Amino acid sequence: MTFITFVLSQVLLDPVSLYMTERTREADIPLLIAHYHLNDPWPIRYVVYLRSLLTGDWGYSRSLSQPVLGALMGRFPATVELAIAAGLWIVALGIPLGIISAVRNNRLPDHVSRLIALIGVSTPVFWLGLLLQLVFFYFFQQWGLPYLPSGGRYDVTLMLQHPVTNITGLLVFDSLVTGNFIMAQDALAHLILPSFALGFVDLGVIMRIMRSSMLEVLRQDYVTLARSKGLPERVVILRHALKNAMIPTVTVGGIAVATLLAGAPLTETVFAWPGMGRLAVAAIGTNDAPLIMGFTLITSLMLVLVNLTVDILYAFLDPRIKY
Amino acid sequence: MMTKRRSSWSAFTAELKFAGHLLTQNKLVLAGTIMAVAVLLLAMLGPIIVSPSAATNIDTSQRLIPPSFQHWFGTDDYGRDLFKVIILSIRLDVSAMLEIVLAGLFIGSLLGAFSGFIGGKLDEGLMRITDIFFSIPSMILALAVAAALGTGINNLILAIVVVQWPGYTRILRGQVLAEKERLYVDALRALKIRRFRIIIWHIIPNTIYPVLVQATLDFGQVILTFAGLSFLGFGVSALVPELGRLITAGELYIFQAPWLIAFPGLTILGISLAFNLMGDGIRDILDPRLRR
Amino acid sequence: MASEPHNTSEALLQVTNVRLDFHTYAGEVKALDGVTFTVREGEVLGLVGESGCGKSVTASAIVGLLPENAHVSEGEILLEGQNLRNISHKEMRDIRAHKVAMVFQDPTTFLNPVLTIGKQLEEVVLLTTPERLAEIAAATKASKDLKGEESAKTTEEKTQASSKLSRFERKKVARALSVDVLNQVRLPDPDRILRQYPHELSGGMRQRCMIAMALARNPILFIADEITTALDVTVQAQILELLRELKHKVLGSTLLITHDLGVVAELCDRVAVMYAGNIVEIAEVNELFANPLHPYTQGLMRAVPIIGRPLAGLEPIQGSVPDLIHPPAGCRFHPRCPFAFEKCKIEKPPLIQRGEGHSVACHLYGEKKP
Repeated sequence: MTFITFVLSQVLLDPVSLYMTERTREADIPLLIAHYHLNDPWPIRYVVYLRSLLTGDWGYSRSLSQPVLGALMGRFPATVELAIAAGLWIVALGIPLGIISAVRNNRLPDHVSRLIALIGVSTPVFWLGLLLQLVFFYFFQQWGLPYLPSGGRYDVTLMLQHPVTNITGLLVFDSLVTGNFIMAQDALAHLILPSFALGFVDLGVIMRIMRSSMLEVLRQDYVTLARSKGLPERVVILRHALKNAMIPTVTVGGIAVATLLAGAPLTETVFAWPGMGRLAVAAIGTNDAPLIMGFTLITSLMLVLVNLTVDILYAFLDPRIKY
Repeated sequence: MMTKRRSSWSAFTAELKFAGHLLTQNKLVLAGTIMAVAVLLLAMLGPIIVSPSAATNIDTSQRLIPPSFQHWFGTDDYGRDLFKVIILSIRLDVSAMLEIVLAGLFIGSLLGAFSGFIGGKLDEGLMRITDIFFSIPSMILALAVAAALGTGINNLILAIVVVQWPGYTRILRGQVLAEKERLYVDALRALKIRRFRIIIWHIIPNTIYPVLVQATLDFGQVILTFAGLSFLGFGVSALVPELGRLITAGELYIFQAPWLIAFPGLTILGISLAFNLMGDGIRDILDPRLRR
Repeated sequence: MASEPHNTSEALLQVTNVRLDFHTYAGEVKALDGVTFTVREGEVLGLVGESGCGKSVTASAIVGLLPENAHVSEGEILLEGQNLRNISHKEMRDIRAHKVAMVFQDPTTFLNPVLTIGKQLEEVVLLTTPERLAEIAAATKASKDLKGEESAKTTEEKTQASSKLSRFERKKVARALSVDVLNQVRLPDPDRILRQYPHELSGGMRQRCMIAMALARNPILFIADEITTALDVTVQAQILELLRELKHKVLGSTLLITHDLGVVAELCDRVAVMYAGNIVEIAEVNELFANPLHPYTQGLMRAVPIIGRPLAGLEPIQGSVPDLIHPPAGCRFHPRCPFAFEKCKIEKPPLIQRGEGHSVACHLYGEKKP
């Protein structure tokens, strides 16, 4: 993955620009070139590049007047919080819907679920976000219903009154843990819409894979045996079938995280969510290439991490796998 | 017998006809297919039904009129009739979608087929490269590439093609690896037919099914990516009728004139849904075949 | 119309004239064509036939585990007099949990790979009614000896221990019972096995576990569906040995389904021979081997080497198994029967009695008063 950013940043753009700050002068450029070995053959440049990445030097963002890594890390918790919340929606809705769909195969709940899934996959994330804002913020307000905030992560004035101690950077978690319920509620209210929008697309995907793997499992012999023992159907499904059906679902789950990350820039932009995605999008406007490269890098790192976690999760689910 | 048939493409077209026949039987798939065809027709006939000037017809006296009998979808902040503009934009989005998928398909399949068939260092290297592409979430990669390439619709198309091709390469390569072990390939080689011919005329038609299925499924996803990136500001410039950009423009007036974002978004949804339905149906029909 | 020789023993399971069809895309598969037999209390009835003749389907029909496209069009299945076709889901489940236990053919696919043996076994035990569990707990406490079901028969304990056990205690009892039943199937080191997963055990061990799961329910009817078929020959012998032991000690009535005449000879008291969805002959086991009446049975005997008999050469039965979507008219065996005559092609022969405890469905034997 570093290869791509390397290629992009060094080939398509002026390599020096990655490391230039506003204060760099004409005269300093040769120094930069020397420091980062930018005139050397490619393999060396690549190594230097890698080394600088590892030491935390990801370039400098001129639009923010900050080193890239610092800027990204500052927004990192926000994006993670959003992704986790979206993931929760998916798990809480997608998996049960998938199970119901498989058990009531080809009857009404199945068709409805599949339709929802299909619509989910076809919906543009950003449009959904806007629509949600329209309905839950604007219309609800008009209709006198309690409404959800239209953007941002928290109410600034409220935050000033009830500051949240920073433990993990995840607002909802931090405020709950520190007993700051006012902020917790506020943060939660702000989190609902964007996370749902982000998760909606993958909801369908997970639901469908859950359904098909569940269908597959229910046809298996051991399910027949379980039934022959006289176990109630619910037990058969939950205890015997589910664990087996989860295995392929978790695989897809890993891929789904990729989609979540991919959708983040759009969602964050629409909801003015102060995460990395939004930063990246803004960076496009100001032609801040180093930032964009940094963002790409970090998201692919996250993806790799998630896939690793999925692999570990496998070992728990399937006793046949040994590491 | 093998030498009489010049290629496997004739068998391919016969099966295609059969698949088409099956396609019309499942109801939901049929609905999707009809919708998809309708979309394609609109795309092609767009500028004929609706005069292209509707897009440039700026009349500020008619700004932001809600949907009415005169203007079915209302008007935007340039006074353009939204319905007409949407019809025009379908053409652009759909053609971009088709271009992207076809280009990705073409590049990806060729690379995958040659890589899989020839094997060796070329294959390994290519797989590494596709791995890299897979490690980055698609939209973010497209974002990065589009940012690097600059504005303009062709750059945007190119950016998304860059993201799409690895998928096809992987699928096709997998198929080819299995296919090249089959007996007829040895027969062809024994006849001293050049590898290039073997790949193009025989291997590809026999292995291309899963890739085609994936491609039809991808239509829906590609148009979402395309519209999404347009929404962010890539691709076409402001006044050009394009669904994603319409939403960007409409966002400013989201509360005053919700129709400005509602209808373009619905259109995107509709197009994506149509092709997803059709793609799903195709996949379900061809599924037993895929287990070759 | 079929009749079966009556005996002084009670008929535990009575299957009468069951017809069963499968609705498939290719057509209606007429799998069972009027199947009739009885399993009496305390006996082992063998159900023999080639693959595809409908033996397993019959078993599935008894416990109600048929796939969705199966349809029983006629007939009765009476278990202790209760018609199994007319009962509710819950009642059927109760029957599966307490009365009828089935062991299947392939222990690899029939055990859940992600659950431990212990879990899969204990859940069966826990299905026993709470009162009985309490009984057993009290009994074990009283007698200080893990003899499981046997010692729990004192009624005094029943009244004393009628109060419900705590969850924890129930689990303990379940565990103890599981260990006990694993001992009964002669599995070494039961504690360890309870903690293991199916893939960690050998085929023979897995099959014993399945048998244990059946025993744990204390069933009145034990159905064994080709339980030795998927095993190696040596392991087969071991399982047969086990079954022989269990037959005398624990097993009640058994329906033993197999295509192996050797197994039949070893374990069964009576045998029912099945062909293409029909029962063609029923007899006591020795009688059947000594005096097979139906041409199919005779063919089977000639096609299989039987130790002790002079080997005159093996003769396969001519022809092949019929297509059950378009079965032959009349007697389904007639295309392959060396003795077939006109009547066989038109009329299906009923099952009639020919001698003590011996029935056959063949026109060769004419009508005789039962």
